[in-house]
Amino acid sequence: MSVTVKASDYGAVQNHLGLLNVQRNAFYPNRLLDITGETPTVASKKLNIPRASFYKEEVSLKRDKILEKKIKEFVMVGDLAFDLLNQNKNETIIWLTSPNTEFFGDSPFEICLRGDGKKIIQWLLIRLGKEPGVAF
Amino acid sequence: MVPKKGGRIRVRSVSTGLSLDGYMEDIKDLTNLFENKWQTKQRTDLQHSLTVYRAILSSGKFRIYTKTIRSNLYRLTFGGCSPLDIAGSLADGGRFNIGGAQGAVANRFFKMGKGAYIYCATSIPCAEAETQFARNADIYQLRPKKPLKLINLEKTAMNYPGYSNLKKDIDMSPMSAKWDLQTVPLVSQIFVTYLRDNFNFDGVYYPSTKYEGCKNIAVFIPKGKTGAHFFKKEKLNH
Repeated sequence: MSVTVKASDYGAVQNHLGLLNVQRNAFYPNRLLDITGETPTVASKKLNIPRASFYKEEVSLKRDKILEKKIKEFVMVGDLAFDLLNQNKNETIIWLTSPNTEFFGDSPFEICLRGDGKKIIQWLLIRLGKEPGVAF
Repeated sequence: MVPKKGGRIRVRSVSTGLSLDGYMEDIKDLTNLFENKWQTKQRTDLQHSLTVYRAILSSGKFRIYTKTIRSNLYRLTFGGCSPLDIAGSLADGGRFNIGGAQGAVANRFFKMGKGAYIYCATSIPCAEAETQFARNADIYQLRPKKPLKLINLEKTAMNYPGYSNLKKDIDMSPMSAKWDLQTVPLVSQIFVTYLRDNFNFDGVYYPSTKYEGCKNIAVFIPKGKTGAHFFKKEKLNH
């Protein structure tokens, strides 16, 4: 009997928040605005992409390594937070976009956009028991 | 010099060593970037910490309140990490100790070095409350091998003559924060490192802000030693 193997069981991004397209090489700008509550003007400055990109259906990540890193780290943070918050999508979105005292007042979203997303990924992996670490 | 439209700018302050790296479309963006990112976060933190540090150095005698603790303490870890391990404490820093992320600034401006501490709580519910998302954690009981002579940090800070907001600053430092996001040492780290370097105590204790009635304890681990020098560990959940 063959056993179904899922890529997500082996670390592939699950994209629980639906930010990436199926091929994982572009993101949906409207979905980003929905999640973060930002306006196109503010989001374009934070991501350092033209404001006009937010009127496209998809924004490619292929030619902009910095943008790709920020968006993919945000997606990974979203996936891990979704697991930690009992797969509750609304609570995950609130957690991702709220200022957090554990992160010195910044939201996980802001931290990902400034390029420090890996630190949040590590913090979440420790709390999920997937990486060794201490609580405090 | 005004950067070209849409250009990237990288600036490093000679006086503080802090850097700024970002993109902007015009001079207005540059101004905003300075105000939002540099002026208000790292620079303000550094200026505030330097002010308090100078107040500490220039203050006269002050009273240190102490207590000896013999009871069991509790610490939570994840992914098989030993509760007596100090690697993370040195790598990231913590509420009361300066670690890797703040080390360079601490060394340059405060003449303070990194230090490894073991953090624990006086009860399991307190340790869980401080941790947040504790359901995947291993719970350890730490039995002191000898009585721990600790500084009552709350009382010492409240009665500290050199700086009246010391307790407030300590309260604002989160216990379980991701400390490697903080590049400038905060007041709680500076004051306790000063106490560690200039007096002979095993650590400090402070009321938990997340679980009323219990305390958090930070034990100073001397160079070359680990938590095993002070504690015997026992895992409580299997």
